[in-house]
Amino acid sequence: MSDLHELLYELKKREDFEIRVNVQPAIKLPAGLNKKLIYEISEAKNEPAWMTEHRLKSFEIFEKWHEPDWGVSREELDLSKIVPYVKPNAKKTTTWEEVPEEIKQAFDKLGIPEAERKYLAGVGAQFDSEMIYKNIKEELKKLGVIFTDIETAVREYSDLVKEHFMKLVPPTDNKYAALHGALWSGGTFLYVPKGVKVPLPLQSYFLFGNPGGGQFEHTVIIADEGSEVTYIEGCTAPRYDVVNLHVGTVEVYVKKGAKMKYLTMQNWSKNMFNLEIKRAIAEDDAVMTWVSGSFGSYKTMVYPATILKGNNSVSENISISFAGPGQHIDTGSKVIHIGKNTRSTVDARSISIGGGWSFYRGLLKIMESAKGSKASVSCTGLMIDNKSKSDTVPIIEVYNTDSDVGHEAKIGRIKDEQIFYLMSRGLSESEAKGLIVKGFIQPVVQELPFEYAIELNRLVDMEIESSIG
Amino acid sequence: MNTTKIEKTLRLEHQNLRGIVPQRKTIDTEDYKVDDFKPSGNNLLDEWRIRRLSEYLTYKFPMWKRTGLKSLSLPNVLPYKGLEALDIDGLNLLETLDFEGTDRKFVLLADVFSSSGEYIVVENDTTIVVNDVSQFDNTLIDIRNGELNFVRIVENPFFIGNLRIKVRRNAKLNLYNLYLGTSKDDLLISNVFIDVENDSKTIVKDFYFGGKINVGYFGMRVNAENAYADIRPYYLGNEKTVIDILYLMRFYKPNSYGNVDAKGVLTDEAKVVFRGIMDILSGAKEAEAHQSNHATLISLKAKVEAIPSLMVDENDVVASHAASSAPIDENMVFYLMSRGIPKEDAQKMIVRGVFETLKDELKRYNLEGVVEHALDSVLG
Repeated sequence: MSDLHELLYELKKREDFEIRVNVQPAIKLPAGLNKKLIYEISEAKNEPAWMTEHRLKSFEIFEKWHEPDWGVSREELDLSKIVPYVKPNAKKTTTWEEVPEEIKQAFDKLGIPEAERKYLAGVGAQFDSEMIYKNIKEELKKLGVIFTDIETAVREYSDLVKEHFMKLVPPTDNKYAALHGALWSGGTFLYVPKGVKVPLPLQSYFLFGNPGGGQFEHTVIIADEGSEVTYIEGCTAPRYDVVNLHVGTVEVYVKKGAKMKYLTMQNWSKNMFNLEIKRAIAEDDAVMTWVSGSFGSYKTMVYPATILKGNNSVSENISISFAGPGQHIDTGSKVIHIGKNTRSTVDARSISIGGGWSFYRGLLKIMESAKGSKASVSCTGLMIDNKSKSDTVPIIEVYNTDSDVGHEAKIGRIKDEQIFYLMSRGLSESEAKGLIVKGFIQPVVQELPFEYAIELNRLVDMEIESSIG
Repeated sequence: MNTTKIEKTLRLEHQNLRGIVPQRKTIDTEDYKVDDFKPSGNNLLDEWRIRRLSEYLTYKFPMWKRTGLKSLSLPNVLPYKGLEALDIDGLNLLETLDFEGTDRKFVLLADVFSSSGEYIVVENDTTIVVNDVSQFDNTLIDIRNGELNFVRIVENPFFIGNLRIKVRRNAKLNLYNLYLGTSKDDLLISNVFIDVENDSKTIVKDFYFGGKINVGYFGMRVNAENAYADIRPYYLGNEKTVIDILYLMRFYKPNSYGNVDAKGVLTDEAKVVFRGIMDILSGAKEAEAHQSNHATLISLKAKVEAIPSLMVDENDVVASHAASSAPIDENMVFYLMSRGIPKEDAQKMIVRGVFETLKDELKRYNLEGVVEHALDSVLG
């Protein structure tokens, strides 16, 4: 193929994948951070007084807090230029027919309505700062499952929300948690009653359509005693010439004997600062599983955390992060063992390609009370080429002698013999590399519903092709 | 590659991307002043020391949360001793062996205010045993030819020291650092920096025992091809001892091998912080870097913190690390008990087994009793 053909092919591929939505928002607050703006957000949402108070208090904390002195450099992130709230010109609805055509087309392109029909128990769709669509199967509603946007939950399930909202991730946690507490908008509230086992996954998808905007969605999930549920979170945005910011927060409460699986497929555009906070607390015999795929964004800092508070509780953390050209992906996991006989496993895999930098940062803490606990952490870095960088920095703190803790890490490349073998079978170099990478990410892929696994493999092909050229 | 730069501990940069280096927290304490400077009688050296003093005065002392260093009381400065024999070659070497260490402040402190140390040039196979270090020590060794066996025993209630070693082409170093606390108020801060050339061989055994706060930095610049380094840290902690040790190996060139394999036993309320950094720069093709830390815990309140890091900019490498902490292996205890050994003795045998290689190697210096004595005082 000539260079020109290659360029056209590349542009076409991006066009196929890029989602652009050109709709005028109903409200777009000016860039900047101040109390007046917080009042305006609160008023636009018709919030109860306690939530307005919460926002103002968080803002005070934000103003006093220093920047975290670790992670990716955030010099290019000027918070005063971020547009904190963009309300789309669309009312909240439970039918896709009522979603404005252009927004619906974007979600169609992402395959969300089709996925809902085929294999999801419920779907939420957020555009910019608000959820515009939320629906759940009638059978689950009858069983008492609540799946709604967080604003509705604040009004309709006030006590339940008040008990859990920013209790696991308080605004005092760090500067960005405080920022989130002040500006949060959109997100999901999911409550699964005692003993209810949701047979199909629920999903929320976050789409971003405004240059310079910030998205601050908040997710609260309560899996009550003995329940089981899988939740999928997906996100994407078109690329703009200015910095966008995502500071989502997720709080998951896994009650006694419950099982919760939280899957994330992050594919933000390459101008996004993705600074997320995800935390779960597991009670006795509960199981919390995080499955994370980080593909997009310019810079990412996200470390899904599980607090194993209950005896015999379990945490699993499976992740794959992909750092392509110009990307700095700082991800990891945190597990804190408090209860007796708690168990945790971390399987973190990263791929660096085209000059990207992937950085694993983890914390495993075994408290004195966590007698008889077992934990293992495995980090593997795959460097596809010689321009990229792969680092792993796990912190392991063991405060009792009755626990077994193991950690191992390896960083390496795809061996020439592997490529040669596959090329001798007729594959091109990029196909061969793609196949090996797909094998490498298999532990994540196998956790996904079938259609998502196909999508993830397609994404890997695209990233490999565009990085190798 | 300019080797006159300071060898930083953390390198958080890649192309035009940057990571944030954690802020240094400081303590307010009374510090030495310009008037505390004691001349050495060697102008070449003193000019260098004065430049170091000028930088020294710009820093406060660090506060270390994990180590528990929250205050510091400095002793009176003693007359200068250390690198008086330094010549122009030695000075040039010294300039190339600059590093950040545990903390820049402590490196500069020992450079300026040392009251023991030596400048040693090795041309033939040599064995040196040092057991008379003072409160601040500064030692520079240039192994130009042959093999150096260097044994250093630090047994001071207060010690801050720098040991810089250049291992030149085809030369060999066997280094034994024995850090032995004398009381439960001891403070030990040791900085060791080794720069190796092509085809050199470096074998190191560190042994940490006793004291209150033991902080060790071991940095190795492998700006060399076909260099070999095998570093074995051992630690034995009891009572409320804190042992905070950092092992850094930075590879710049192809085909070198580095291994850091730490082992230790903790009892009572002792705590170890093991920090390992294997840093492989772009161009260090076929470098092989391994790092591990295995802690055996024999009391309910012992603590382990491990931060074993790999930082890799070159994909044609073999890089791995492993860390574990666990109580004494019950299967091993069972095996020994099945041979008629009482449980308590079986456990002690297993603990002693961790240090067996070190003891054997120290026999040639009649120093195996140092480890035996430490084990006796912990295990009874």
